[in-house]
Amino acid sequence: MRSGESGDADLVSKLQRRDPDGLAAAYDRYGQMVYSLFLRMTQDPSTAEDLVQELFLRVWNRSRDFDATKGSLGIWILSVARNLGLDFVRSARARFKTRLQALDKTDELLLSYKPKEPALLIDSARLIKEAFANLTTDQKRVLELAYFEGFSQSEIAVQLNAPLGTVKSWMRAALERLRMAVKPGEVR
Amino acid sequence: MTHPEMNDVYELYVLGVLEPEAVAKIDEHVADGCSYCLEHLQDATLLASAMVGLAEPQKPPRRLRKRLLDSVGQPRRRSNLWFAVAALSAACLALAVYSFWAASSVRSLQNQIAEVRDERNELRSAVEILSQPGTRTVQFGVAENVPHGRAFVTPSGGIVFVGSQLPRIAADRAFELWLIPRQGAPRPAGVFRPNERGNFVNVARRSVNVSDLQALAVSVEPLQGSAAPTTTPILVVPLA
Repeated sequence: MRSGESGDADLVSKLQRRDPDGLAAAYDRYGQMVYSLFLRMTQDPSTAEDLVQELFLRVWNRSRDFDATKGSLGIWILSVARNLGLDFVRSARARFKTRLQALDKTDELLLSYKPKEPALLIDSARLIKEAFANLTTDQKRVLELAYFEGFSQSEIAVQLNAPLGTVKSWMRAALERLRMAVKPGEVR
Repeated sequence: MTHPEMNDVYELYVLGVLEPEAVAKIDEHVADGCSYCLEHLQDATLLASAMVGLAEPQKPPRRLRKRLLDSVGQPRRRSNLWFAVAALSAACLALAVYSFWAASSVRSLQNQIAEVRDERNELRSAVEILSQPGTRTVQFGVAENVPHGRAFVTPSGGIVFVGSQLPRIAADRAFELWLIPRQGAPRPAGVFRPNERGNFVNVARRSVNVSDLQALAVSVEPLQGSAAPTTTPILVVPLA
């Protein structure tokens, strides 16, 4: 963790007191990450900005339900961000105002996960990026289709015109490389 | 599914891209409070979240932070003069934003009208083709969960290809219909994407000699289409 960087607990506490400084701090910590994610998913800066706004307003409005001792704010924000992005890309004619606002299963599940220091998440993202650069072209493509576009392995097989078994093999190898990057020495 | 088999799919479960049968298996374990699964799901959650690193870092515009904080009523302490200048600036900005928004709305409406007009023209073409004498109907697919529909082939007018349940494809891809002759190379017959409900209509206005055609086929291609199929067809409809 960088010097002076506080954990999520302090930030969540401010959010729960409806202190705009808490929202500003959350944005400063995760804003660039989620903007980059939305921009990659939508390929449209204006839409990416709208999604960032919607995401952080959701954080603002739901912060009182969040228990910083039981959950990780960063993981929650990034997971909700991806779901928001997928909502958009899955609906080519998506209308911003009519998207479902209800919590999905992943939102609820994440609220009960153990806390992680934000620096760990940020560092892991950097390690993942480095590991990704060393994957084969096929391994990169299957990961991108699953992560950025939400395709299942059988859908990816159709996309790439490749046998399902081969796609699973690429996916397995790619995820293994990423796991090793985040947790060196771990082999499942 | 055993735990060693699950080791490869926890991340896919968290990412929401796992096949339904495997999801059900993991759900069963989670519902039973399986500590092995819960621990691995936590690790998978961290990994899946850190995959945000796959997106090339891009700096958001400065105005975005301000826009966000303004929307929750960020308090400000300013001198009266500064407040007046800021208020005037905000009013000018609001006017500019409104003008931009109004222009965007008009453009959006114009685009929607153009889309509706295109759809109407497409349907009009389809009706013209379907009403021609000698139109031949070929049904393909019967089960609900596989691609199914009908192809209407008119010797002098063209082809109407309608149906549903084609697989989802990436945003930068489209389906392309091909005419497969008994001899020679496939000929392109239109690029299309299914609507939000998975239904599709493709109208090809070209003269077709049905007796020369062996089949229709559909492949996944770039949005602008290809001169020849670049992937194996996902659907072949024999006309014989």
